[in-house]
Amino acid sequence: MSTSVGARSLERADGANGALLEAREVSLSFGGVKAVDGVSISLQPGDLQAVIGPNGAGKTTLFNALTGYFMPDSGEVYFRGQPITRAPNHERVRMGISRTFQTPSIFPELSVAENLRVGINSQSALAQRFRPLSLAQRRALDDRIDELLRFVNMRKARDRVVSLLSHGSQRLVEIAMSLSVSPALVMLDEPTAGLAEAEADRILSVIRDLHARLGLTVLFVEHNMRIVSALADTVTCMNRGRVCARGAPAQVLADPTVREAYLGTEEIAAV
Amino acid sequence: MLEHLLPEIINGIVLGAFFAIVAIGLSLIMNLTGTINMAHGSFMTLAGYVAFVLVSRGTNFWYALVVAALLTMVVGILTERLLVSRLYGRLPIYSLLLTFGLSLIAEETYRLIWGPTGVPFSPPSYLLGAVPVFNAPLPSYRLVIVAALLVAMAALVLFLFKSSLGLRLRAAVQDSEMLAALGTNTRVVYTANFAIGILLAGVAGVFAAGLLGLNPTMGNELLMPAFITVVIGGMGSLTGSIVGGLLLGIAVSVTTLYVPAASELVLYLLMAVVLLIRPRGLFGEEGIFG
Amino acid sequence: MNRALMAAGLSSLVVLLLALPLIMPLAKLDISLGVTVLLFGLAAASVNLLVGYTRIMAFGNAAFFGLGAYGAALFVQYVMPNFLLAIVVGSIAGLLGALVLAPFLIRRRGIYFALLTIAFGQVFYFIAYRMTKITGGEDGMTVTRPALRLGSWSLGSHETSFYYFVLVVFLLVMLGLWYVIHSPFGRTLVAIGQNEVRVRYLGLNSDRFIFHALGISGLIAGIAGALYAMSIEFAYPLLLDWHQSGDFVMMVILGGSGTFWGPLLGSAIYAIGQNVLSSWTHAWQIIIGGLFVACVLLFPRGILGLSMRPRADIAREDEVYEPSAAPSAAAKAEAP
Repeated sequence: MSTSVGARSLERADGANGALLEAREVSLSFGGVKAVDGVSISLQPGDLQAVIGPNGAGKTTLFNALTGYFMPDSGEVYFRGQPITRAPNHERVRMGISRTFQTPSIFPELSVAENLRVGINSQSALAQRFRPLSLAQRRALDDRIDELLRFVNMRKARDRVVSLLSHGSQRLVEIAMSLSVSPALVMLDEPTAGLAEAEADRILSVIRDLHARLGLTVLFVEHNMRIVSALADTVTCMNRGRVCARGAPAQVLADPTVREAYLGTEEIAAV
Repeated sequence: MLEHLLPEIINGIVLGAFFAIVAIGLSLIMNLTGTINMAHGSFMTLAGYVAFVLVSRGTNFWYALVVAALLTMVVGILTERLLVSRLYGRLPIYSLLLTFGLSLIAEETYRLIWGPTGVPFSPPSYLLGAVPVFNAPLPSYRLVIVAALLVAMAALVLFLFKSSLGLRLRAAVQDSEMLAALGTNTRVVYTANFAIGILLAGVAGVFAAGLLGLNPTMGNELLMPAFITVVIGGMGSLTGSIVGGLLLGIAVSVTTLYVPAASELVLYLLMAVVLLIRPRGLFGEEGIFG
Repeated sequence: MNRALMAAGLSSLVVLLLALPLIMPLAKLDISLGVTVLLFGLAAASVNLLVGYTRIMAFGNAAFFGLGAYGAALFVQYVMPNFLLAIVVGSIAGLLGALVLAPFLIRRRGIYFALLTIAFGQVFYFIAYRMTKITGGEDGMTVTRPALRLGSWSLGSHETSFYYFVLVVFLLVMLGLWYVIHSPFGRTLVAIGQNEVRVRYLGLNSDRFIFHALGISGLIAGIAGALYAMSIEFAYPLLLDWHQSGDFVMMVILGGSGTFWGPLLGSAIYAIGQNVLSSWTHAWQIIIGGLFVACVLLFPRGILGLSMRPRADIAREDEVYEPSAAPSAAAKAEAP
């Protein structure tokens, strides 16, 4: 199988001024509170951008608006130049956006392989079939599962029930699932949250591989500044629903407004 | 024509008041804990039977109303504490089945104690007259019902917006976790919420007994229209339940006059229409009591 | 080892079902009860597809069951006394009922969905109740079961041969259901039951899958209802009532929600239990209701459910998908 996991991302990368993902002045309120307030963000193909900010800054809500979990109250979102502001979430995935969640969003009672199967079938338009898969199709499915598991180094856990795996392993399964739909852009929401250093490093190297080996564009929310510095080429800092700083990691992390946003929190010590 | 229509409209308002008060009770319980109380009708019937027992022993109607409603509320509290609360946090189908099972037990119990065909229960004789309103004679009992239900709704609003428990109840619907984190005993709030819903059902039940006739399935007959009221009014909306209830009550009443066979169907027709136009219901928002 | 056990279990079941006409009289039970167990088992299986596998709160399947019953009965009464055609008509009635309701149901999940299935399910009850001239209204309508003629062979009105016919249909439908559940489509339904949000974030429109699941469920319930009307030679409004729906859901939970044979087991417990209890005491409904309450509180996984993987039975806030989610739902979800 020559098709690499992220081949599709290299094929097409057009869009207004070349941006893969572009959000302009996106706002989203909950019952009077503006969780996201006029946020603009732009990603070129091949970018690796981090979104940081204290709890409650609106980072996950931004992700939700970008991926269609909620529809923004105002503003526009474009993917490859196409407006997707009101597109349903499953359509955005079909267009090439994939994401993970703060709490791993997986199929708890199913095995790792079964977890991956759904996304793979979705990608090959087999998910809605009533006829069983042919032998060739099953073999292709198994190969693809294998390929994805090899990427996150979890082949040994193939038949294990996901709810019994460690938190870190569950996150890796979720990342593998997000790859199973051959996305161009992967959005990871706090991929290392709740993990010890060793497991966080595993995730770090997987994200690095997503970007370097598969050529995927990555946008991720992170609290671990070490990982942010190690990975990101651009950092956007959010505070109280707004963007308070943007630029290269070193520059942003030294920015006084960023320090002020985190004032009193533990993350600042890591910066 | 208006002379024909007016009594039906007034009748519709009476019916609508019933729908509304039962719907509010259901909605309160559904909104806070995600419990669909299929036994809601059984509580109404219970209140009716308790009032019947008291009245047949010579008690004053109003006294019986209060005692029956309170007693039913106590049964509701016990039900919530011992049974319903164990299913909070589980998939809603379980509480649905639990309350369904309870309604089966209740219905059969009423049948065993008081017989399957119902018992005579009439409002006090001084309410059996009629009052002329706009040249149409209106049964006083029905007017009293509307008045009493209005009082009940006003009391509820007062409670929810002016008392500290009411405040906590509204807060709990928004975010019970946060409320618990702030130190409130959320169990008490859940129980109080259920109790209020049942209290309302009890009040409605006693009045319904005098109006619709008291039999083991009386409450269930009001249950379905109440569900539809919740759907049409919008889940989580007090105003929605009231407006929806009145709308449905009038619709049923008027339809009964012209096309009796379709009197229940009009409920479903309206529900279908409302859902097509506004899937959330007339006043439905995720926010509560708006 | 597991495979051998399954094969043994399955063969014993088939043998039991085949031998039922011999066994039941020994317990002083009529074989028509066996027919009821099979048909309620199918109806429960139709519910299980939705409640057990897809984990959506379908509480209105009696509507499809009843549509099947009335479809068959009305056909025999007013069109022609042809057994096979009546069953086909009834089945289609069940399917159509589901397709008519589905657009309304699709838009919601959770308790709102349950509420809608209950409410809309009742429409058909009232239609049957009110159209007295056609359906017999509250009293229902009696029909005479037409003889089933297959070529030169005629299935008379002998109860035992009718039972075997129903058994064949039952096994065929269950086979079809097995096929569906193990197809990629069925696997996606299971995934939706696990985590609908994730299914959507894998590029699939869960609404469409649920729509199809409702259709299949309606069809199966319709088949069961049509055969049931032919079995008892009677169709009555309560077959469409939410109480009947509740009974079906209860059978699913009793037997084991999400297991393949759970519905049949639940149906057997319910139908035989009700039959036996009602001959002992007038108050059998209290016992049945008590059983429901006890089951839900004490063994919600059901009998066959004990053999399954542990369930994530608690509905997690962030996993409940809302088709047009309003922002304040997020207030309960993870911190932004």
